[in-house]
Amino acid sequence: MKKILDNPMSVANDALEGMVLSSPDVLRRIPGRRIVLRKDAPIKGKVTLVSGAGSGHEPGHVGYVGRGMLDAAAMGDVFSAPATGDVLTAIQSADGGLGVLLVLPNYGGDVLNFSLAERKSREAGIHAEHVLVNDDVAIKERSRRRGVGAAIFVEKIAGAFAERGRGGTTSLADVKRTAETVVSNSGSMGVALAPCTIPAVGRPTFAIPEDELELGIGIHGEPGVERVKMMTADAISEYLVGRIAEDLHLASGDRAAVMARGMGGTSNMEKFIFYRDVCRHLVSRGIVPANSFVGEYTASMEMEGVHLTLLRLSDELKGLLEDPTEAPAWHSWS
Amino acid sequence: MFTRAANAVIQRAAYFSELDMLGDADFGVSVSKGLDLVLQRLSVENGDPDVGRILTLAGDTFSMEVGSTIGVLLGCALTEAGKAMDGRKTLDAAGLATILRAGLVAVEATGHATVGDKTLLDALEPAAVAAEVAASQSEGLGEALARAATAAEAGSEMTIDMVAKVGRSSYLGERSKGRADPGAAFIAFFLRSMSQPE
Repeated sequence: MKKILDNPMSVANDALEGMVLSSPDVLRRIPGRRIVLRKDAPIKGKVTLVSGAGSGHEPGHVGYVGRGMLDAAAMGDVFSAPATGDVLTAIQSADGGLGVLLVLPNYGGDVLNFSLAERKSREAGIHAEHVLVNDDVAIKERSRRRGVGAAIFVEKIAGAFAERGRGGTTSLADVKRTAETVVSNSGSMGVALAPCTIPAVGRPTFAIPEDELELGIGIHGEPGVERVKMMTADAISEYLVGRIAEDLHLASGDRAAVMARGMGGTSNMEKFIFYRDVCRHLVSRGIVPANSFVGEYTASMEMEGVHLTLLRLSDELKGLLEDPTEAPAWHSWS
Repeated sequence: MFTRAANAVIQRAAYFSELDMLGDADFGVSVSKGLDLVLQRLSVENGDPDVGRILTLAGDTFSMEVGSTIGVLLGCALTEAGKAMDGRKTLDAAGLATILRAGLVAVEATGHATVGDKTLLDALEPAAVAAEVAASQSEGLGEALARAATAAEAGSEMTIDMVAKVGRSSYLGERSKGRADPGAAFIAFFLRSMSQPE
């Protein structure tokens, strides 16, 4: 394993420290814990948004803490759900008194830790609820779908909605409903060309021949649902656009927000070639790519591959998506 | 006894992560971190913590500080076992049976999995049954642990050919066959370490 790091056992802490140091005007860390807050938290009179996940998805979710998106993020060890205690502390530290919405990706460990933290916050008198993100269309049963890219759209749109409602005009129930609308209008799917290496483990998560790819991946370096022969960007985008559009019943005339993500180890050149082909396939179906997001957003360390999220837009969702935010990682080309 | 088994797991952390490769490979790291923290906390406890206290402390630690799926599952199992063994100063075959059964019930309730899903339950359930048999036959703790360990090892072995029904490896369908479930392997390993003579 050849990586830029100091201690393979402390990468999660070290990277988090680096992210906070790079955005000192917006972010602050709770000393000794893997919890990052908005510098000005807690914000009174606004519904609070908290999320989290394992480390290894940088810039997610630390990069999405800031005015207009998350109030706090609790991060786990690499690809490990954050500990209940950290999620609970994040909730308690960021709570502004109007209730807390947890943006919860549908992975077993995240669900267990967040649910326990939610229950404990309620016992402590904080009105906490969650929105379950389960946008991965590679899995047939809705209830088993993994939470992948749509979580970022939820954080942006629900974050903007909560921010607009500052002063107490928007309730937790309103924010949750908006978040759920984003989830039910989103679909995602991805492919991987090569695995990643978790520093504490020191070896790649799987082996794959040069001429094959993994179809239907999550975001934790694991193999996909199926292994197939390597395809061109055009074939990959046709397949992914087809699967997602079908699942969402995207019709001609619909507008979509398009998030084309590299998994961390894929070059910018490749991401933009992929995005070009995705646009062509959307347009050929009469779907308008109204807002585009090309970058990492929620990567899988240095995994090679791409992941696509489509969000069907209404005027309201589009407006919220376009609201300004101070979250350091939102506006970027990588 | 607990300390020795805990240290043995920590040393084998890499092995458990390898088993977890079809998931996300965090198993070994998570469990080792939890056990390390439990050992640290036990070393600063006042007096000589009894069996119930050790289990409760371990349960709190795993639930609150470890994260990942195994953190919460083991946390709930140990917490329930701690309640069932509240105030007990020593461990005997009956106590072992109580602990394993309480843990089993807690994991089923929290994780929404059952035997056959390729999880730690596939080792824990046979272990609980074996300990109950030992207790009913008035065997000593050593024999009960050995029986439980053997049963857990057999259960863990069975998971090799199972298709995972829950957890990250469940997304891989048939591709999840061919490796033991790390949770089941861990239960077997831990019980075997506990059963080894001092």
